[in-house]
Amino acid sequence: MSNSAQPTRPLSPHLQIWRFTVTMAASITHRATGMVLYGGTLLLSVWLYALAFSPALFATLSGFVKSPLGVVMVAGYVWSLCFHLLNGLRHLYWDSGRGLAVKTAEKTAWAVYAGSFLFAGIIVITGYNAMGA
Amino acid sequence: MAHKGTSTFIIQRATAALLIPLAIWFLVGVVSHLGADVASARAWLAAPLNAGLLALFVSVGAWHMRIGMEEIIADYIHGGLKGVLSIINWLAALSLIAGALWSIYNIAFTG
Repeated sequence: MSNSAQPTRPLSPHLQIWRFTVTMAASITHRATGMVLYGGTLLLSVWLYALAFSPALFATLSGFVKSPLGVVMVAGYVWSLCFHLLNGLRHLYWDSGRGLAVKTAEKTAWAVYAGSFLFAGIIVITGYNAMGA
Repeated sequence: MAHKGTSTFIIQRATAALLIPLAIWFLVGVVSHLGADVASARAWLAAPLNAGLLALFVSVGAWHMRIGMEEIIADYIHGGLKGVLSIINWLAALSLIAGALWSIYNIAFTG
């Protein structure tokens, strides 16, 4: 393939030379949070299974949810769902053919980040206060 | 899944739209019961409205998840592994739905 008679062809740009833009970050975060939600929802089914069939496992999970790792996982799942939900609204808005101007897309991307942290913070803090942790 | 592009696109958007109210309900309802004791969590989920909404959230969510993961597989994986991961993805979505519905059924109808 690398024939010396051929001129060196340009490579497509790699990750490290892209200029950072918030719209690019939001796009990557959308996919990453989607993958977190995939794994997290499978774990949720374990919680449901325990609630239905195994009080002992459920008690263990309830304790785990209050442990440091449990808090990180719950907060990560909640934030991922908030982000994916808000950015999903942005995608549906785009599907209607609106909001695609660069300036608008940048503003809505920042709004999605801000809103996701705000909502996730409120939900996680209220949730943990309610369970008395 | 050749020649299914348009219907997959539409189902992805339709499930997304359905998930908007379901996810809001889920965030508020389920997260506040994550650390609960068995009795109160079961009592909450045994209420028909909560049982129905959680069954819907998991089923619609599983289908949305399957489509999204299929997109990721198509983007990054080539060759024989692609087919294997695609089958695992289908099985994961179907067993998530089956397992969750069976658990919810048990909670709602056995008290």
